[in-house]
Amino acid sequence: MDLYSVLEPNQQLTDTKSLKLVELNSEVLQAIEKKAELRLKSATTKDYPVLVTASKTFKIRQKNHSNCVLLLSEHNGAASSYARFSNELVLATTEPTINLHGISILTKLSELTNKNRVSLASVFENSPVSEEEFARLRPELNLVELEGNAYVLHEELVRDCLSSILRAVIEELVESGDEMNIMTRLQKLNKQWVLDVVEKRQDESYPPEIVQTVLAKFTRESDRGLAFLNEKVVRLYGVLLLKTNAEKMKEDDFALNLKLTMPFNYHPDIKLEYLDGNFITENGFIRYFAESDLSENPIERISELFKLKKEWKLEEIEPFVARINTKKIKTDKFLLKYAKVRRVGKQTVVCAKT
Amino acid sequence: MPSRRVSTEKASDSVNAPTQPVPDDLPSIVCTKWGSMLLEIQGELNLPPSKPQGLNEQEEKLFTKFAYPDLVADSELLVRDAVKFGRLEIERDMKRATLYVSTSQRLVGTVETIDPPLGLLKTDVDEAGKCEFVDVKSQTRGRWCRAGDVIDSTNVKRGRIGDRDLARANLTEHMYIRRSGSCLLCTDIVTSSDPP
Repeated sequence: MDLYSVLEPNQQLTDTKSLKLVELNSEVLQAIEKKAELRLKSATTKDYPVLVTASKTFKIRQKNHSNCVLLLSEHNGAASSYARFSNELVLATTEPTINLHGISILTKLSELTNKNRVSLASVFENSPVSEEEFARLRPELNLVELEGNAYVLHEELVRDCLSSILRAVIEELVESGDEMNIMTRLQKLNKQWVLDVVEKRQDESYPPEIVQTVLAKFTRESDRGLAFLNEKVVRLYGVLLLKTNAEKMKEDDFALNLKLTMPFNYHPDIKLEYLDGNFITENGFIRYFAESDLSENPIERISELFKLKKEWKLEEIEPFVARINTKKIKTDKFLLKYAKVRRVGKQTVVCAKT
Repeated sequence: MPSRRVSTEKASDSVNAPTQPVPDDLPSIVCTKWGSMLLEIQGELNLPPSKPQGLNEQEEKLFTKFAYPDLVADSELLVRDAVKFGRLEIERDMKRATLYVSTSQRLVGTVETIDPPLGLLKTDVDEAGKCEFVDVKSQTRGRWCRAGDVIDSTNVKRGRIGDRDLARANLTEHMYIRRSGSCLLCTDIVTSSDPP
């Protein structure tokens, strides 16, 4: 077979059109086989591009090589090369993110606005995330669309709505004579029943979009029905209680105060570890501190942590260093590089190197 | 808007197409349903930037006009000058292949499957333009694939195809069955003065 080549084989076909070779992984190949639509996305024009299927997000990298790969087109027993590649695009799995830039935070229902309208659809368009992942992440980020505008619900608004849902459900359960088994019943509910009860009993009327978002975040649906995720509920109330108390609080008082802020008859187990990464304890006192306020740089983060407290128990420091421990090695081994790790009795204690 | 739909219709048709035997009057080849084929050479292939002037009749025959396939050109008519740079022969067993470049170089390679499969993505920066996977060269069961092919020849001695040093090879008809979906890998350097 005779081989021809255009004189300057180029990936660029015209001023705007060009060709790329892409290494396909099984998910993308399957999508192609099924003729499913794919999307090329990016958070902004300067961010890295991703290729998304219906359920997965892949970061696109360019892998250069020194070989000469010719793309040929066969015609009448001869073949002509019309594009030459010195690189391939490689797909790597990546954490999907939602781009919340420019979205207002809604603290009160009365603050709905018509300015800067951004729909949920356009948030999705501008986020390097697949449709399925977007549906899963949206409630986690308290993201809702109200009257055609997207908002991030303030945590206090989420808490108030959650309280109102829990109160409505619990009142209904009490009235039906199930007072003794409320916590068990909260693990096995019918979703439509919950929505009806909330609609009927809710003291403040929250739009259905908010109720559904809050339910999606704090409950899990399975074959057995809808179950409230007590750990997440406790975390929300606990973090807000710590945030609103500027003063240090005694550890013993904290659990009691936390119970008081929760709806009547709602008695989940309260464990401090549910709030990991949001508090510091010292000499029997507890105060709010968010892990997200620390530096992303490992060395800076460790030094900031030792400024807060000279000596940490291993389990206390763990939630604050999980983010920088990217290779997910054991925390005590990971910390050896940055700090002194020693055993005192049954406990492992971490302190600064110098 | 940093989000573009990528159509997969053409690539899907290609990847789902069954292997087709070719008519006996055509030489052996490995390509996709859309006629795409990949040839990988270790090194470079130097071609003249434009068609040289003052060619004799025989040299003139090596040049032709190439119209880009519809697969990538859509309905636009893209025509460029093309030059014959060599000849490719795939052996009957579809395992080994030889690439003759110019009159003095023979590159021996093998037909290999592509793993992972490679997709050919056409992008268009124009807002109204269409992004699509137009073809897939895939690895599949064994050496013979349903669709897709890479012809890969490594260790190619840098064969410069200069203005006058053009390939002069005669096309001999080979009666191989065309198998789509394999690729060709040339691993040994064989320089030979024997004309093919």
